[in-house]
Amino acid sequence: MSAGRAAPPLGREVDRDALDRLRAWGGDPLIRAMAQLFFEDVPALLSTARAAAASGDAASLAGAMHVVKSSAPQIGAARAGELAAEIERRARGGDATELAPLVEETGRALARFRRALDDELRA
Amino acid sequence: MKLLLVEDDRMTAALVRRALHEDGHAVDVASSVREARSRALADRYDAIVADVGLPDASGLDLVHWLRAEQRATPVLLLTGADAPEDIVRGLDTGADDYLTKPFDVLVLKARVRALLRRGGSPRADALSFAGITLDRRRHEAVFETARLRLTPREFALLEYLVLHAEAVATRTELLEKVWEMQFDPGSNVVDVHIARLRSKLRAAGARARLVTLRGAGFVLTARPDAATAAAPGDRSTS
Repeated sequence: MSAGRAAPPLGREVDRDALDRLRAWGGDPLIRAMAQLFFEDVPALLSTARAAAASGDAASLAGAMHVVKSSAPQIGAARAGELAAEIERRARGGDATELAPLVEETGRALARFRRALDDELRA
Repeated sequence: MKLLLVEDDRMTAALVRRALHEDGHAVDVASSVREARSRALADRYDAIVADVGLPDASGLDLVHWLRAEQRATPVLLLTGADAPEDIVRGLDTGADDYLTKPFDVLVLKARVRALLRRGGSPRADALSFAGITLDRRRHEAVFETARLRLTPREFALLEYLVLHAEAVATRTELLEKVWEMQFDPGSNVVDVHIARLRSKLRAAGARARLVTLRGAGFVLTARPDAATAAAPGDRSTS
């Protein structure tokens, strides 16, 4: 999609403003390039987070979710960013073992965002 | 300008690097505070853009270290929007500006341009090295009690060399920083001023020497062995 074209609504998974900012600057090629980098790193981050939640390693869990919290909103993955921020906040408080369901929800949010973004970029 | 980006997230690093490249800057990337310190010791940066949340330490620690090392390199911190305490601590520690994530790339570029215009932390009014003292407000230079009678350009040159004492300053760097030229005009203007400054330092009996390292640049040094330690067989100390 070229810059300036009206895009379909994506729902709460996606921060439309964040995507528009990227698109205005570098168009869809920039979004694709950033998404590729982002999603290349997501599996390892989720894997680290899952293992940390299972073992009660709050510091590792917070570290992995900090990266997701920082990068997800930049590319428009709003819900995933919110979930990661919540997990990081609670993990910094020492709570890790109770956070496994939230880690899974973050994974699902990222998967939904990816599908929405793919649809957006194919449109 | 040469910038250091300290960011462990690959996507954000790629985004920021692309933005700064667009504005014509050379950008080195460090992914940890440890690597950033190493790069800052080995190279000179006109500004640093640093994430606060880094794997080995906080970006605030990097700012603290820089200021403790008397390095005035301007620093822009990238922080989470949910961490206002990081912003307060960062600015109090000596950072010059901040931007919260997610950020607008155009705003980032504008902030960096502003940072480079301002030149970072307030400069000291007086500089000294090996008995040489520069009064930057009055543009006066002395060695111990002997006044050095310098032209404005010679003063600016000595100021730069004192700020970077014991480190090699290249001809290109001096043209850019002292003469504010973005290209080498092909003249010997730097060498002529270096020779005059060297002569005035000698006449005043200054312990510091202005050494020419052929093919590398110039260094203001107080080390007696500097002429033989830096680049054996490839220098003059004229």
